[in-house]
Amino acid sequence: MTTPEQHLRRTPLRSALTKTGAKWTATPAGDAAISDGLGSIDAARHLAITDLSPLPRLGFKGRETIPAMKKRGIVLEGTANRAFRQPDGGLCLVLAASEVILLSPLCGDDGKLQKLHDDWRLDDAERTYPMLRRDSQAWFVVTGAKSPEMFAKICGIDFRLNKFPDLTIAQTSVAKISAIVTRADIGSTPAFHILADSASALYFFDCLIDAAQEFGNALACRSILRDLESG
Amino acid sequence: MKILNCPLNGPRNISEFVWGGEMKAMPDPATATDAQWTEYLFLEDNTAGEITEWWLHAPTNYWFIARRNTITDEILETMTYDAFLARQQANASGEAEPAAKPATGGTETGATSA
Repeated sequence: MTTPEQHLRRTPLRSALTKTGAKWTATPAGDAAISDGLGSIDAARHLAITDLSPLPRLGFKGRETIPAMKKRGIVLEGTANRAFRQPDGGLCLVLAASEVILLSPLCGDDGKLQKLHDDWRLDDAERTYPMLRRDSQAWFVVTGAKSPEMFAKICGIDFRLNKFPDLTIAQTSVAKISAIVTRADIGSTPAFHILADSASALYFFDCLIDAAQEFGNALACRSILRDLESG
Repeated sequence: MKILNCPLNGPRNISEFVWGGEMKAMPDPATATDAQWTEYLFLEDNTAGEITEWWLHAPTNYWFIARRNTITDEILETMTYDAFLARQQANASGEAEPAAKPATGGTETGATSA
C-alpha cells in the first residue's frame, strides 16, 4: 500500500486526510500519493471537498506570457480572470495579461506541464518565466450544488451559479487568506477549484470543513471527481 | 463593509486592500539630498480633501491608483497606473488653457513631473 511518506512530494493535508480514513494511491508521475477512498458521487453532487494538491500545476509570468503560451499550443485568450479548458482536460487560468496557471487534468498526467517546464530556457530571452505553483499553492476542489452557500460563509464574493458563470476566476480572500477561486464544472456538477498558500493549507482545510459542516461535511477524492467527469 | 473597486478584479471588500501612500514623484536617487529622499520615503502631505493614492489588491498583488476624499473618506474613483499616466499627460498638454482643471491634490501635481 502506498503512503504519502514514501514520496518526496507530499500533500500538506496528508495527516488530516489519513485521520479521516483516506487511502492513498500513487499519482501517474509517481512522485506523490493522492488520497482515495473518500466520499461518494451523491456527496460530491451535494457538497464535498477534495484535495488535489499532489497533482501537477505550473504557472508562467511575464509580459509576453499570453503569446508564449499560444505558441506552445495552450488554449487561452488574454482576458484576465477567465479560465480555459484544454483538450487534455486540464485548465489554463488567465490571472492577468501577464500571468497564467496551468492545472493538470484529473488523470494527473504531468507530461505536458513537465515538458513546458523543461523546454523553457533563460537564453531564449522570451519575456515569460515559469512559476512553481505546485510548491507554493495547495489545490482544493469544492463540488456540489451547495458550494455557493458554503462559500457565502467564508468569502465576500457572490458565487451563486447564476452570478458566477462557469470558467470565471475570482482572486480574492477566502477565510482571511488570499486564494484563487475558479469555477470549472465537472460534468454537470458545479466545481470550484481553489489555489491557496500551501503553508496555510491545514488552516484553510479546517475552515472549509467547518463551513461545510452544516451541509453534511463530506470529503471526496480524485476518483469520485473522475466519475463525475464521465457522467 | 466598505467596497473598493479594483481596476483588475472589480468591486471587493476593503479588507482585501492595503493603502500604499500618497502618489508623489520620485526624486532622482543619484542627485536627491538626504532630506529630499527622506521626505519621499516617509513624509506625507496629509492633505485634507481630495488626494491621489496608491492602493494594493493583496490577493493579486496588483497596484493601482485611487482618488479619495480624506475628509469624508470616500473613494472617488480608481484607475490603472496606465490610465493615471494618460490622464496626467492629457492634463499637462492642456495646461496652457485658462482655468484648466486644478490639481485635485498637491501630490497629483508632483506626479506630473515623474
